Parts: sequence; structure tokens; C-alpha cells
Amino acid sequence: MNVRLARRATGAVFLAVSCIAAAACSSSAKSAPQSSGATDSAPTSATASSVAASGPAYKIGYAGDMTGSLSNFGQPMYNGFKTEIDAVNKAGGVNGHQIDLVLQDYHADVNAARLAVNTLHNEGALAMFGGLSGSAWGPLASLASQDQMAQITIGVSDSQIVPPQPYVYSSQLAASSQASLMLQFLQQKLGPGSHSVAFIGFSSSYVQGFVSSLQAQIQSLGWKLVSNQTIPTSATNVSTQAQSIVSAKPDAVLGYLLDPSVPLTVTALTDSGFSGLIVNSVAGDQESTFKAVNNKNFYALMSYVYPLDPTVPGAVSMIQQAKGAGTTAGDESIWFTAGYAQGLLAVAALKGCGSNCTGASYNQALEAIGTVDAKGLTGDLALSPTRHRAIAAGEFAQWDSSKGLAVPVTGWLKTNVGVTQ
Amino acid sequence: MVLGSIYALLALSWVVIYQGTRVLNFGIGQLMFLGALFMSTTSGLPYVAALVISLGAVGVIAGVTYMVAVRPLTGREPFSAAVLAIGVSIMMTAVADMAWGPNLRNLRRPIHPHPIRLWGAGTNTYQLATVALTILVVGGLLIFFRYTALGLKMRAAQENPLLASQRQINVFGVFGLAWALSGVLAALAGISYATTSVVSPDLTNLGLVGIAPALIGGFQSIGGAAIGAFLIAFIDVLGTKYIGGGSDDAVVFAAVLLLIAFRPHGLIVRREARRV
Repeated sequence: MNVRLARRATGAVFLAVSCIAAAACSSSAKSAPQSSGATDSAPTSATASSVAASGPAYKIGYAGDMTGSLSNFGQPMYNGFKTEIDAVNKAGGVNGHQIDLVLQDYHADVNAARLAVNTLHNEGALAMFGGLSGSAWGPLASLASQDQMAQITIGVSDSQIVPPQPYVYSSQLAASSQASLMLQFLQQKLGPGSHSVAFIGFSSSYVQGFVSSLQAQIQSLGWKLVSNQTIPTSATNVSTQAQSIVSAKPDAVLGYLLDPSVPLTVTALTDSGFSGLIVNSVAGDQESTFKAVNNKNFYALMSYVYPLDPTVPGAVSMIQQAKGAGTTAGDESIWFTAGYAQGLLAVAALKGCGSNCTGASYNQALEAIGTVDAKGLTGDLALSPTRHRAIAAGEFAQWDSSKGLAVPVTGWLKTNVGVTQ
Repeated sequence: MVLGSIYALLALSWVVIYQGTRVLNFGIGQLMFLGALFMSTTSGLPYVAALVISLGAVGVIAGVTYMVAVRPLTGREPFSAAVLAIGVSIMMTAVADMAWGPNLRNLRRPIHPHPIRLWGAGTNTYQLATVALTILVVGGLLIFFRYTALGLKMRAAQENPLLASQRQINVFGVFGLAWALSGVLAALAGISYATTSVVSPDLTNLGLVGIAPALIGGFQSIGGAAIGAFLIAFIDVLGTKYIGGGSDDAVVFAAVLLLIAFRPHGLIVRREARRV
């Protein structure tokens, strides 16, 4: 009897802990992500009373990596997006309509992403933002025109954007654009002449695409790719690859490395005797990564500024908005800015779409946006009928240990590779 | 060697729990992550104090997990406890996410990583310190289980819980201690790894890596797990060198499958483990 009682008590405690955790999740002051299927009527009751909305709310869908392997990118990105939507709602909405943000968590899984698209379409969302995972959004891009619900994501491949496909947009640099910008940067740093370059990146089809583009561009410059190394996504040891690179004696090493792999790789390269430039892509350019690396020869490409960069007025006002909205969780991540920029695009298209906005007219409005005032958060934010990639510029940053900050060492470099203007 | 050290700490974490309670704790990656998170939170304290607090906190969490969640399943199929461990690990990830948020974090290094060459390969002083620490931990555990009263009680409880309880050994207390010890080892692996990287949820994936050396070395042996870890690291490096960097996991688990086909109980088997 006592054993049964003890088991029941244990079960009750377990259940209670789970309930408390769930309750804490839904009421977290840090704007924790909502679970799958949550509808986020953005205005608070206080805000709603001060806003006179004349029509039904616009429904904007968001497919986020709120849980799963990409959640440390996905959560900040959603909070950045929500920051802009909340600010607009607070200011009265768009065209007299509030924006109803509908969140779906697809946890970097293609099947969950498919379900998210269906749900958002059934709920009448005008478009879907978010979408980090290449393995999810590449295969699902074809659904966008079928459902007449635009997908503005990070995860689509270069070939799905150039030439522009109907209803499919990207708010991140193309793999080929990144390769172009990284080579521009090397030309600045290494000077004229022929140079040898090594590459190290994680194992994925997207990175293979990057390498193909890099090889073609290196060849056209008359340079040489002397070593091409692959590491697992969750690497624990890269010393073998580092030694292969060092023995090829490159002038510089280019990387397509995720944040956790960057310090390992830079350390392995320097331990193996490499003292040249190491330049990473946008896959690993977080502030904490620069700090962990703490190496004056390491640079990373950034397509958006750090949210907490005090020198960018747009970033300062963005964070003030986030504090007002209670959406500051993840505000040290560059993906927060990326999400906010998607929010700018969402709102700009709504303005052009008018009161009787449909999926088809919203898509037309996206194409008619032109250049958006990104407030210095990125170098070039624009969409047009021929340009479905919103981003076409990047800057390179280096860790400044005296400031305790990664600081840009170039202005915004632009590229036409991977972008149709 | 450095890779082997991380694998060894993880493998020991798996083995200590399995030896005691016959449970495969699939939440070891989460314990690694929690260890690194606690270490980042206590960055204002002296390094050793922060380390002790972080390891202790994870040890307590692991011990309490056993007492609250796993112990009530005593007598049921080990499968139930393994499934429960998966559930608890999912909850731990969610709670960690709520408590610490999604930002990546840094850990300070206890010593500056001076690059050095060793038998033609590049390494650094921090990595060598990690190897030395692992050797100390393995040696310490071997001594603990062979020569200390508590270690002997733990072994007795593990080998025959009924007999041990008749000898006044608090069997459940001993098992809770085994879980706590496993938590400490996982946290140490997490802190060692995250110090050279960043603290991110990716750490949770690494926890599963430890099962490979434990399978090779045999779930019954601390020494075997340590040998298995360095063997796995060696296979990993060979796979990377001759097949390619993206293939190392496949090569490692192919080696594990091959070994299990010939030695189902691993390289080192204690006699009682083979009794029928």
C-alpha cells in the first residue's frame, strides 16, 4: 500500500513539475516561444484599447525553429520578427488593421514544416515568414505558388531564387553571394596577385553548393583552392583536417562553419601552425563565437548587424522596441536582427497590399516593395519582381578585445552574384 | 588523445549509471549542457569554486532524477526507465531553455592554450590538461570502486541488490549516488568541451557519442570504457583521414557494429555478466 502511495505521490509530483514548467513557458516574461499552433494576437489589452482598428486583422504566418536543433537561432529570429509586428500593432497597425501573428514551430523538421504550411494556409495567412532550415524549405518551396501563400525564408537554395520563382523569397545572402563577398574581402586583405585558398565546412548539400560556387569564382580570379576539408555538423575534433590544410600552405582559409565548430577549427589551425587569415561565413558569426575564438586573424561575414551594437541607431531603437514588447530573449544573436528585418518586409508589403489583401495581392505587394529603409541593420534590403533575394550585401567583423565587441572592419560590401537586380 | 578524453568522460558517465541501475540514460547530453550552463552562470566566482558548484549542481539534479523518476520503476523492464530518461531529458532541455534563454555562451579557460607540437601534431596546453584530467578521473574511479568502503558498497549493491540490502546497505541511496556521479562526469565532459567551443544546445547531441566507447569497452568496466574511448577516437581520426571528414560517425558506428558481432559484451567482460 505504501509503495503504491509513494508511486502515486511521485507521479503527482512529476505531473506538477511538468505543469509548472508548461505554465512558466506560457507566461515567461522573456517572451518564450509559443508552442506549435499558437495564435499570437499581438496587441496587449492595454494597447488594444488605445488603438482604433477599422477592419479585421491581417494574418501573417511564421514558421519558426522554436525547438529542436536550430532553436538557438530560431528563437531569437522569431523574437526579432515579433518585436517589429508588436511595435506596428502598438502604433495602430497597418492601413487600420492589426496584424495577427500566427506561429508554427516546425523544429527543423521537413514533415513538421509541411504541416506548418498546411495549417497556416488553412488559417488564411497571407504569407509565411521564418524558415531557417535548408533541408525543410528547399523541398517545400514549390508549395508557395500552389497555395498562393508567399514563403519568405532563409532556407531556400540559390537556384530557387535566381531566376525568381513565384511566391518564393529569401532574406539571407545566397551561398554564391557569400563566396563572392569573402573573396572580395580576401582581395582587400591580401592585395593583388594570385593567391591560394583552403576551405573547411560542415557536411551538407548547402555547403557543397557553396563550395561549387567558390571553386568557380576562385578559378575566374586565377587563384587556387589548395585544400577542401569537410567536418561533421557537431564536430568534436578537427585536428586531422587542420593538419591537411596547413600542409597545403594556403594564404587564407575560408570556412562555412556553424558557431560551435568555429572555435574548435580556429584553435586546431593555429595549433597546427597556421598564422594566416581565417574567414567564416554567416553560419558562424555570433558575438560569443568571436569571443571564444579571440584571434586577431579571424573574421566573419555578417549580413545583419549585432542587435546590441551601440553604434547603430537602428539597432538601439530595435532593442528599445523589444524591451517594450518583452521580446528581448535572444537579443545577443544576430538572428534577432534577421527576424526584425523580415518583420520590416512583412509590414512594408502590408502597406502596399491595402485593405482587401489576399495571398496573391500580398505576393504582388512583396514584389513592389522596392528598397526598404533597414535603419542600418543591413546593407541592402530590397525586393522587386526580378529580385526575390532581399539581401545582397555583407560586412566583415573582427573581435576587438579592448571593447569586448566584434566590430565591423569593412563597410557594407555589395555583390551581384546570386542576386538578380 | 584529446578527443578520446571527452569520449572517455562520457563513456564513464554511461557506464557508472548502467553498472548501478541497468538503465541507459539517454539524458547524458542534457547533463553535459546543464554543466556548461551552470559554469557560464557562475563566471563571477573563482574558477575552482565555479567548477565545484557546477559539477555539484548537475550531480544533485541527476541524483534527484533517479530518486524521483527512476526509482519508482524498480522491478519493471529496464526499457521503461530508458524511455522515462528520454522524457526527463526533453524536459531538462525545455527548462534549460526557459532559464538561460537561447543566447550562446562562453566559458573561460582555466589555463591559456599555448600551442605546442607533440609527435608532429599540433595541440595546446589546455588540451593536454584535459587529457591529464581524464586520466586522473579514470584512475580515481578505479581506486574508488576497488578500495573505498563506499565504492565497495556501490559494487555490492550493483552486483546483488537483495544481498546488499540484507547487509544493511542502502541500495537506493547507492544507486542515487551512482546517478549523481554519472551527472558529475557528464558535466565535466560538457565543461571540458564547451570551453574550447561555445555553450549551445548542440552539446546535447554529443552525449549520445559516449555510448559507442561504452559498447566497445563493455558496459561493465570502467577501464574498458576508457580504452574504448581512446579506440573510438583513433578510429574516428583514421576515418577522417582516409575516408573524409563527414564520414567519421559512420566509420565509428560501423566499427562498433563489427565489434559487437564478434564480442557482444564488449572488449572487457566481467565474469558474472556472462552467467546464464
